[in-house]
Amino acid sequence: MTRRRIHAGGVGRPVVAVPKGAMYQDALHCLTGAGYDTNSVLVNERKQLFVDERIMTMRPSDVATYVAEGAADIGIVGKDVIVESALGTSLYELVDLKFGGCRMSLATIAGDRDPVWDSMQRLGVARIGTKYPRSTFQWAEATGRSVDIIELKGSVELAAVSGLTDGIVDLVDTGRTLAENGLVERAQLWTSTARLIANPVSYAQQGAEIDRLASALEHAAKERR
Amino acid sequence: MIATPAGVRDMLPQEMAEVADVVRPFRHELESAGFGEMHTPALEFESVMALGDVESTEPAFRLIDEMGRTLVLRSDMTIPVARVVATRLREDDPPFRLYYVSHVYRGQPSRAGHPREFLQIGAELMGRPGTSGTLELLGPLVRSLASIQLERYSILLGDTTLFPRLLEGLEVPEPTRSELLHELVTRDLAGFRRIVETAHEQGVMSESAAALIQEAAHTRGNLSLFEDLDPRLRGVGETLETLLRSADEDIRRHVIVDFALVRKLGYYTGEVFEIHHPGIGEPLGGGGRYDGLLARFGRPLAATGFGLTVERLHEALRADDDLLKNELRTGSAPPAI
Repeated sequence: MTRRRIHAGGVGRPVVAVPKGAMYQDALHCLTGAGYDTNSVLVNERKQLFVDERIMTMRPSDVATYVAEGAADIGIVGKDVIVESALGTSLYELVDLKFGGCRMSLATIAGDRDPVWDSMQRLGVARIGTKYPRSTFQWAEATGRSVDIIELKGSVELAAVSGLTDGIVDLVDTGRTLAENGLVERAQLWTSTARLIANPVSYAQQGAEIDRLASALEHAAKERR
Repeated sequence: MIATPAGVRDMLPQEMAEVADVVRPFRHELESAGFGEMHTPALEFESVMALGDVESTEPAFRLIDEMGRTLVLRSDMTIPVARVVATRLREDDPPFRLYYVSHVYRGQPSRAGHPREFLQIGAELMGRPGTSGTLELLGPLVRSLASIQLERYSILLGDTTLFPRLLEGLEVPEPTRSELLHELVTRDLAGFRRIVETAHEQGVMSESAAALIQEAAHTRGNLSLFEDLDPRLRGVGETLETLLRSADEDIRRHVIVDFALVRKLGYYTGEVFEIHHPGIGEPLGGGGRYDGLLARFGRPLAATGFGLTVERLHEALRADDDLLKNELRTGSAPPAI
């Protein structure tokens, strides 16, 4: 529950949370197409809050939190973040913008022997390193696998190559980072794309405006593809 | 360790006094409308709470008494009130107008604003069916909110039977029907659209049905929205339109109709609503009709109720102060964040 300070009671354009990183350029491009002024955002990399432009920029994994709590009205975020945040009905997921595609994959050291499979066969349980414990747990549960999840913050490839864990679950874009670390994908858990999300109170009170924006953003995303 | 568990807290005199100022006008308005205050114990038998909707009000704290029976800290107030009406008040004639100011216990993760113990103020109107019953409940709610001088809140109003009726009327087959309802409950409108599109591509849903279902999920507005509506949507929204037409202006000016609103609690059977305030990111509370719940206690009675979280009302009043101040600010002087 957040007191929302840059809202004037829902007057004006919805405040949007924009993820830095891989989706940043696509997100800003779509917002420009939907009528947001992104010029100062593009030239001010360190600034996080653009009051007049009604834009905030942040780490992708924080977008869901800012929107669910109501500090921002809407946000652009990967489906993976929504799944991992487990914020449930505190968020509306409005539109699949279809950019920022990536997949959540299980990877292990390359070679004939899959250490995850080997551990499951011989020990009944595999050790998995990940930044995404909830996704990993859901996958393991849904496929009847027993895993010990080791939650890590940094680059998780090291966990698999150093022997800390049998494998890793991580987001994969091109697969190059995996290959450079001598890892291979053994399974794809699911694929993820960018979504437009909305705070439930904002969506209740500015529904028509947000629906209009959703169409404009979707249109801009389609044009860019 | 000298501390309280996460999600519960002490309240000191200033906060207590401010909270009392929030509660007092509610008591006055509800009593003027003929509602009587009641108390139920914080401890209930688990088997009694389970007569409600176990999935969404699942009690988080269980105790075993000296006889080996399982007790729970109540996770909802409607169920205890229903229990009383079906037992202690079984000889009395309906309608029953009851209200409470009570603490409720949930096991939610300790996210900000989701404590394990919170104060609920709520009212239950049992034995008054239909939209007239719902309006009789909304009256004192709106007057209470006016008397604490909460401005700019809105009442998001929906009907839990609307989408099931729409999908049935359009002969949408299972499992598509259940999948669509699930996406509404989880508020995944992107997923909702994907299911509609897939059903259309597979030939189990006509193009016009697909467009209508997609339109219904985005149908939101005030009374005037009904005038331009597709007759089939207007048909399934008839209860909401009737309710709004019969409502007086004090209620009507706060209401936003939302065809896609579904409340999480599974015992709702008709009109449902949520109270929203622009300064707070989550609903202040809500309620709705639960015409089937009392039958589970052996006393079938149509009923409706609301519950608001007092701590959030208190926060909303503070936010109102801030919002009014913000309005006076010019665009060039950004407020601190």
